Amino acid sequence: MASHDKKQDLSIIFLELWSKNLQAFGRDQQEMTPERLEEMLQQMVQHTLQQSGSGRKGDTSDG
Amino acid sequence: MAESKAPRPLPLHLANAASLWGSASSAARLFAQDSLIIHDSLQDDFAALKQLVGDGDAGWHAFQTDVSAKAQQYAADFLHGMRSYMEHPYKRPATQAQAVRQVGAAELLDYGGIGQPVFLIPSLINPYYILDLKPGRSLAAYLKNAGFRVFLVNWNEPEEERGFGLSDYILKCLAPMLEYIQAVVGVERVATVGYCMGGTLAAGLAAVRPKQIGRLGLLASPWDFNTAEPMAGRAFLPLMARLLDILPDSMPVPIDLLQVFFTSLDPTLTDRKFRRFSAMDTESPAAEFFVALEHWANSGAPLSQMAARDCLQKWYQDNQPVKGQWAIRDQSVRPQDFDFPTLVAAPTGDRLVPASSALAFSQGMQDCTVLEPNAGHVGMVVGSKAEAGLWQPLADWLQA
Repeated sequence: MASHDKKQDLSIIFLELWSKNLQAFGRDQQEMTPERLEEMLQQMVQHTLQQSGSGRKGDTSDG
Repeated sequence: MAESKAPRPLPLHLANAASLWGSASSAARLFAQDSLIIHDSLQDDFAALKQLVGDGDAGWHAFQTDVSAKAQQYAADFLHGMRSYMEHPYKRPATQAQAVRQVGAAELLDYGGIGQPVFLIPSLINPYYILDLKPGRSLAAYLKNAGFRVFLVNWNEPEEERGFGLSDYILKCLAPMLEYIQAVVGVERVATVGYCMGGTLAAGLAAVRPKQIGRLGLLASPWDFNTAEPMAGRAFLPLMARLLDILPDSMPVPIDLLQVFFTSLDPTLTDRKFRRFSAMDTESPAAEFFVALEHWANSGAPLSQMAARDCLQKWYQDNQPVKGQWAIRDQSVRPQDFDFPTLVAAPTGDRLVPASSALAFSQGMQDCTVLEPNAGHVGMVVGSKAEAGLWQPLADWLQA
């Protein structure tokens, strides 16, 4: 029971962070400059490439 | 002016909450897969949470289940809070003041008494009665009880004022009201105090009627629109400018548009407020205060398009007040030229008007009293600490 309560607390922390995460990106958007936009896009592309790279490593399908 | 029974614009607040909690479950799954895009400022917090959840699949599965359940509960709490608010029976008590002078649509309220007059000027946005919210939460009533004869402007819905710019509001509304107060009370100079943009307008009035002002107080009033602290209005400026361009010429800026701006300052604030309200005893004084304040925040008249353009262009874009370039007709508004005592109240927790913006008015002033209450923009005037933080020191200053 104690263990389950602890996991619930973590869900509360996650939701708090999730809300802050959206707010933080919202603030960035309000203060967006072309330079910052390009930087963000590059970060997102980098992030996506990393994810797809790590996905391919474990991909053993034949397709 | 009808009071709103729901946060405005309601669809925006509902969509914000639905988006926030409806996406949480997917976000938890992405978080488990290391695929969640996380803002730089929160990387450490999310990493620490990841450590706490641990490595095992079972732990992550339980975590995602809990997030999903908790998010649904939050969404339900939000809707419950919203419903409780809309069904709350609170109605604002009738004001004890009498309307004694009508100037266009605006009226001057007189709280009576025989003391020295104090002319209170509220913002053009949101109703005047934030300065007289309810018994026990009224700056106007406090000053009256402290021995002053209080006059307060109720702007009402603009009628002929639809074509008014800021100078028109000052010269055609405030100046005649000031003259009325002088005449009816029989004084040469009147202490004038403005709240929020009402304070900035009061400074404009002081510039064109310097011999009629006895003291000038600016409460959470913006003066420097280019401070180092984030200036909420600046971020909204390009969008607002585009929206003004597509409004028909004679149409004032709808209140819902202004409310979108306020929401943009903290898009999840409404969700947090109404979830907290959901847990409150609706018959408690705290719940009644919440409802009273929300009614005020969600009400207000549309803003004349010319006044909105003046705010955007002369204040936010050109930052004329702090540069000494703002002029009412041909009269520059230069606080350094004022020969009467002034006061600036700059609440330290103000997210709408950063303290540094308000404090800029006092720079280079010979005789300016500065108050820095530990409060927010609205809490400073009606919060539980308003008496100690603002009302009493303001009354003392007016008395001095």
